[in-house]
Order: sequence, then structure tokens, then C-alpha cells
Amino acid sequence: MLVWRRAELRLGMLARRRDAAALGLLLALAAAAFTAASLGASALTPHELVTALLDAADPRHVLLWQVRLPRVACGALVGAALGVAGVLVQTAVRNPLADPWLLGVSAGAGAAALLAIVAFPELPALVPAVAFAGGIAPVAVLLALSSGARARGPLRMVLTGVALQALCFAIVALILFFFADRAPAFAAFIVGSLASVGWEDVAIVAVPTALGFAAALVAARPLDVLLLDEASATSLGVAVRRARFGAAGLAALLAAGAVSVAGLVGFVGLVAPNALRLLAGPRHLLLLPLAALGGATLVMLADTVARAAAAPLELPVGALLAALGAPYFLYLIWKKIP
Amino acid sequence: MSAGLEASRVHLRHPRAGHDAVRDVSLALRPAEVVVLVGPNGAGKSTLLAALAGELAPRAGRVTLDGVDLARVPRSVRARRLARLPQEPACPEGLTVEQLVGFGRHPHRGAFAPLGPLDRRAIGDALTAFDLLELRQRAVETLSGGERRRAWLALVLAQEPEILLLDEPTAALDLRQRFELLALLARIHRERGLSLLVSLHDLEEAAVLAQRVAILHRGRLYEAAEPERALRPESLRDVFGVNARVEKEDGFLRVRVHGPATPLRSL
Repeated sequence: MLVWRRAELRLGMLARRRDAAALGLLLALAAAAFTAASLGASALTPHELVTALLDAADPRHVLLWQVRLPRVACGALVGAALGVAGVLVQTAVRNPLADPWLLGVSAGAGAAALLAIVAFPELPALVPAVAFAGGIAPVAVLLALSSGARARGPLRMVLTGVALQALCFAIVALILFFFADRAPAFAAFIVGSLASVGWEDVAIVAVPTALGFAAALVAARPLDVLLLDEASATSLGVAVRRARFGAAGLAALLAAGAVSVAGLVGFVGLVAPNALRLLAGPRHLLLLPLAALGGATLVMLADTVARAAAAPLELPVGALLAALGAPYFLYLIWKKIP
Repeated sequence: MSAGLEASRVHLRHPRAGHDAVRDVSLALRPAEVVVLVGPNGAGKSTLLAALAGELAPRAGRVTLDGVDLARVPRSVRARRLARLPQEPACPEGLTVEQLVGFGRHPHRGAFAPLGPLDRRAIGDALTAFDLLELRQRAVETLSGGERRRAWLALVLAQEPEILLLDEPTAALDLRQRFELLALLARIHRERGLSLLVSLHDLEEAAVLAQRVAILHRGRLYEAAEPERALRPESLRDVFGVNARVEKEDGFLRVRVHGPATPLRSL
């Protein structure tokens, strides 16, 4: 009886912890957005920020609206897209160690995007579509290889992703080699950076992010069933193969949007879902929004640090996130791979 | 047209190894019948169950549900009538018992429908049937092997199928848990009128549960008959390679294995 009471108490705490997590994340997101808008090459007090935003005569008004706000919005959207994409690839390959970056989705999208940029420089609108095709290719190969019960082990999956990623990076390196004159612009792309984004970039990332997120939420229940073993999911009436490819395709769409504006930002899709799964549990209806919030907060904060830490010099946000994400990845490897 | 689930002369390829695991097997599971599938390791039991669940398409022959080719039964319809519990089911970390059992309602719910009263009742009944009410908020990975097995059985029960396919449900259970599980299965069969097709390793357990025992041997159906007729010394020698006596004791079939039918290679 006592054990039962204690379990009930713990459960109540857990439920409250979940609500608190959701609320906390929302607050963190707002705080991060505020901080991100305030800090940078020139730091503003909250009062100054509000005045500058509202008063068109303020000398910083244009800077804020044309430079800093689109950047903050892009950071939030890129982070949300990558957080949701992380959940989706982890579900598609049934492995918490998956991440759009680690599986080569980002690298594939990036390689394709660079190809599109050098091949059709007059058609920038083409980039996201080509990036999507490039992003879905590695994960399609991975899913084809891991059909049935083969390649189910997390180790093989991660190593396959590494191999596919290496292939994509070889393509990137080739492009860099042949278009060395444009190397500086490409370097920012490869490390991942939000340095020169504008409102048009917000539009580019917002559309795939909104579409992908909405589709994932609609499919939340079948995605849950996909977390079971293949035989059980089939027995419950889910077309496992099709659903996996669908989840991977949505992840590629989200990652392609993010890559198109921010370049190869890594590890967000690994860190945000894995950290939040501890609080939210594995079910998608809760995990997807939390991963979106968490990813958005993470990228906005990282980008703020990137702008403010060594001002006026700017650090690439991708490098900062990798510095944060790689140790977390190591921790997960040692914890999850037996 | 025949009611129930039926395999007619199916040839099946092993999903991983790629060789022919089942050859020319015909087996029917009639409504409310209990059939136990036995056979040595590698005889094709799991492969046959996968095909009967519609997960594996036969290379030749047909699997039919009430006379309709199973591949042509819509997935959702199939999932409402037919459930299969694999040998080693897996679920993600952090899922509670109640949430896992709730997955059984997936085929019954509309895409956006929340759990309705029928769903809640089915989940509650399944939790009660497998004595899981006190464990329902526990994460599945924190359960013991026997509790975890019961949780998965509750999932397929909450699915409310007419036909239940269980792949070695007693594996990894201790002696008492095996008896409890068999008693639970017998009770579910009695109370709900389910058809059960269960693969088991233990022949005495098979005899307790089964109305018919189907013996698979090297991918072929050796025999399918009532337990006393199927489990004879000859069949045990042919299929399992052991010398054994089969006796009836207090209404239970006792299989006494004396040793290998052919001399073992020296070790």
C-alpha cells in the first residue's frame, strides 16, 4: 500500500514536472528571444530595446528590424526544424542516437544545396528543393540497408550514417576545391552560420518547418506505434516501411529548410529530443512540440553567444553547437550502446 | 469459404536468413480453436506465425482470413481481427505499462480520436486480466521479465482481436510464471472465445493448452492432431530426435525423455 502511495506521489510529481517543463521551455524561449534581440555587436537594455523597436526615428530601429530580428527568427525556426527533424529520424530508424546531421541528412542537403548554388547561381529559389532531394537520399539508403531486422543495432546505424556523411562531405570538399574563389561564403555554410540572414530567409525556413511540423503532429499516433518492434507495429495495422520513409522524408524536408538558410548546423536534433525525452517520455504528441521549443531556444541562445561573446568578431553558431553537442553525443554513446 | 485463419500450401522464405524456412504447409485455425505449434528450433514456427499475421508474404500458396486472401484485407481491418505477439517485442524507454497497453487500441481509433469509453474499458479489462493495475504507471523497462510479458499480452488483448498469435509466450518465464500464463491464456480463451495459435517449446505445456497440436519439422507440417495423438513416441523420435515415453497421469500428458534417439557424437 505504501509502495502504491509512493508511486502515486511520484506520478503526480512527474505530471507536474512535465507541465513545468513545457511552461519552463516557453519562458526560456521568450527569454532567449529577448536576449537574442538585445545582445550582439551593440548591446541594448530592455528599455532601449523596446524603444528602438517601436520608435521609427530611433537610429537603431532599422538595424533591429532588418538585421537582428530576422536573425533571431531564423535561429528559432532553424532550431525548431532541427529539433523536430531529430525526433523524426530517431523514430524512423528506432534509435535515439540518430540525428539529421549524424545520419548525413544535413550533409546530403548541404552538398545538394552547394551544387545548386554553383550550378544555377541565378536561381536561389531552387536551393531548398534541391537540398530536400539531397537530404532524403542518405536516409533512404540507410532505411533500405536496414530493412527487416538487419542493421538494427545502434552501432551499425551510426556507422552507416558516418559513411554516408563522409560521402556527402567528399562532394562538399570537391565543390570547395573547384570554386575556391567563393570559399569564404561556403565556409560559413559548412560550419553553419546565421550571419547574413534576412526576412526572405525567414520565409524560406518557415514554410518547410511549418509544413513538416504540422504533418508530424498529424501523424503523431502512428509515429508512436512505429517505436515498437516491426512485428508489433505491423500487427497493430501500421504500414511500417511506408511510415518510416514518411517520417524520414519529413525529417529531410525540415532539415533541408534549416540547411538552406543556416548551413550545416549539427547536433540540435540530437540534444533537444534526447534531453526532453527524459521529461516528456517517448510519445510524439508531447515530444514534438517540446523538441521544437527546445531546439529553437538552443539555437537562439547559441547564436546570441556567437554574436556577443567575441564582439565585434562573430563566431559561427554551428561550431558552438558542435562544441556543445559532441560531448553530449559521446555521453549518449557510452550510455546507450551496450 | 472457410471461417478462420488458414494457410494453404504455403512456402515461406526466412525473413533474415533468406532460405526456405517453411515448405508446403497447410494449417487452419478455426473460430475459438486453440492450436499449439511445436517443433525444434529452426523448424519454421516463427516464420509461419509471421506469415499468418500478414507480415510475411508467402512465396507460394495462400494465407486467408475467412476465405479472403490476407494480403487483400485492409491493414486496419486485419489489425482489428488479428493480433500477433512476437517472441522479442520491443518498446521505447519511458513508456508506461498503461501507455503500452493503450497502443492496442490504435486500430480501433480514428486518426484524431482521443481514447473513448470503449477504449478505456478495453485497456482496463486487459490490465485487470493480466493483474497489471498496480503496475500501470510503471515504465515498462523497470518491470521484471514476467511482468513485461504480461504487459505485452495485455496490449494484444486490448486490441480485442478474434485471433491471437503468440510466439513462445512462456520463453524467459520461470516455472510458476509459466503455469500462471497458461492458466491466463486458457481463461481468456474461455471467456472471450478467441482463437489462439501459440508456439511453445514445452510439449507438456502444449498438451495442457492445445485442442490440437501442430508439429513442424524442418519447415514441413509433420502432424496436426489432438495432443494425445500428435505427441507419440514416434513423432518425438522423428522430430525431436529423442527417445521418450508419453504417459497420461492425473489427466495430464507426461513426456518422459530418456535420451537422444541416436548416439551423440563424443564430446
